Amino acid sequence: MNNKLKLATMDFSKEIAKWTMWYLPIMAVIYILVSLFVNEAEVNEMSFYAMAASANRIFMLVAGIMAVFVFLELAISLGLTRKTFLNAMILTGGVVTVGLAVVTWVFSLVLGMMPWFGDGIAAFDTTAGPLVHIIGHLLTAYVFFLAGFIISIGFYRGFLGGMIAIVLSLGITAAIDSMWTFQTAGTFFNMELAGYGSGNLLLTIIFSLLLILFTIALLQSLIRSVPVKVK
Amino acid sequence: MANSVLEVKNASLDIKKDRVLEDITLKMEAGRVYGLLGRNGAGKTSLLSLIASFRKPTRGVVTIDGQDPYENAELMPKVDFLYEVDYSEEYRTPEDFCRMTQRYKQDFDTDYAYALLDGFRIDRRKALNRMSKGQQAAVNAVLGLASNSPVTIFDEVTNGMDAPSREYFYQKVIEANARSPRIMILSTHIVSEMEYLFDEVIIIHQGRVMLQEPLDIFLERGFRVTGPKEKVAHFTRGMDVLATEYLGPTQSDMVLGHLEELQRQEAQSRYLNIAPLKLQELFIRMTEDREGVQ
Repeated sequence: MNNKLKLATMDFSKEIAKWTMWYLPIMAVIYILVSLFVNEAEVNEMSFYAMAASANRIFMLVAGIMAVFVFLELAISLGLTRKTFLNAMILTGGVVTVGLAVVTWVFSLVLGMMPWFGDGIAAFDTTAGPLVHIIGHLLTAYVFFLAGFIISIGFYRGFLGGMIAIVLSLGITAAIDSMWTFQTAGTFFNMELAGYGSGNLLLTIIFSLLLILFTIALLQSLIRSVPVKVK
Repeated sequence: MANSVLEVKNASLDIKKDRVLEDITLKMEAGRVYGLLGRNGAGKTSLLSLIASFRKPTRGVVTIDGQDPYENAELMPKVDFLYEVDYSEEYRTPEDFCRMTQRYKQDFDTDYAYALLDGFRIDRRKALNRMSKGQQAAVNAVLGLASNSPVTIFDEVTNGMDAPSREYFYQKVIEANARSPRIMILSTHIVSEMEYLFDEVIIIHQGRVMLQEPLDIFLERGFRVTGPKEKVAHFTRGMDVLATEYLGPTQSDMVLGHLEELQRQEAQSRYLNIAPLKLQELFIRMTEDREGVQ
């Protein structure tokens, strides 16, 4: 990894980490309020990690959408190439995904020690182990970040580009979501699919990685000639 | 990179369906200050965006020392493009910006930047979103002056600055170019104030380069004749008169062309005053007719 790439990854990660400092405490407050005031067994048994997992994906999607608008102009002004910028963002997405999962887990652990809150990693599932949920959470959140990045590059190029990017992103996020929902719970959009799927964890991971590679290739082709707009 | 040469060869730029720049050819050398002039929408910022790799030319090439800077990891940090930025959401301080720039651009001189910030009377620990527009512009100017980049571009960077700050900036442009000779491009609408800074003038009009000339040669393109109405009118008859102004019985004609020695003697004998044109006057006259502005 060259020095500029390292620097940019560090700087972008720090900036997005600041955004999570707003997001996670707000999420924690929502969790505490819901746990204390909603009297339903499912909700009361749910850990913070389980509740935040889907919210984290949306956070990553938004972070991806913000990335180009916040960082691209600055990066090019500082002399980074678009390629370095993209590579730094790909790494940043990974760093933030793992960082966010770790901090969410710590929050969950602390809250889980208190008698009022649940402490399971998964919300409802009992068949798939917690590790499957964690891997699924990490890969899904990362793909959501990349999908957000596609949307922002699309809109940066123009309205039509943005609309096409939204469709692409929907396809990508639906693909990763369905794979992991199927893997962990056997359902997709509340449809029972357990009878049709393989449930093979390794296969799901391989398909997820292929999806990530496809998304990165798409981003590489989109960013190559993206103009930086001044004024 | 000490004696960098920047060349734009037959570059054109299309944005959506519009041809923004057409067949631009320019050459610039280190140690010189270039004044880039043009009316609103002439294509100045688009041209600077090509040089700074913010955009890729649709046709033609931009080279620095023979290499295309677009997506060139070695060359892109050597070009600094400073323009008016909206810092209303920027909570970082000038000090943060200096440190960050220094980490990415090895030629950036942080101590010099701090000295310049002091000169502009800018608190370097104050968040940019709490500064006035003029102070934000000054921070931008400082980042460019202290960059020591072989190609430094200032696009309307004095917008919002008060007169003392602008004057300070002009002094520092000369000083910075002496400290670290580079290709410095100043794009501005305040032509009258910055004229003395320019070694060369580039006028861009309706997406095309109208001319690129050393300032002294450019100013020799015309002259002003002032005196009694009848005498001036008689003297300039048959000449290419760009504009005529009246003040009571006095007439002042702005003429395009060179004055021969005989003509100069004739003017003297008629007690007519001959003066060189100012850059702003020449620029206005050269670009107004083509847009039908009178």
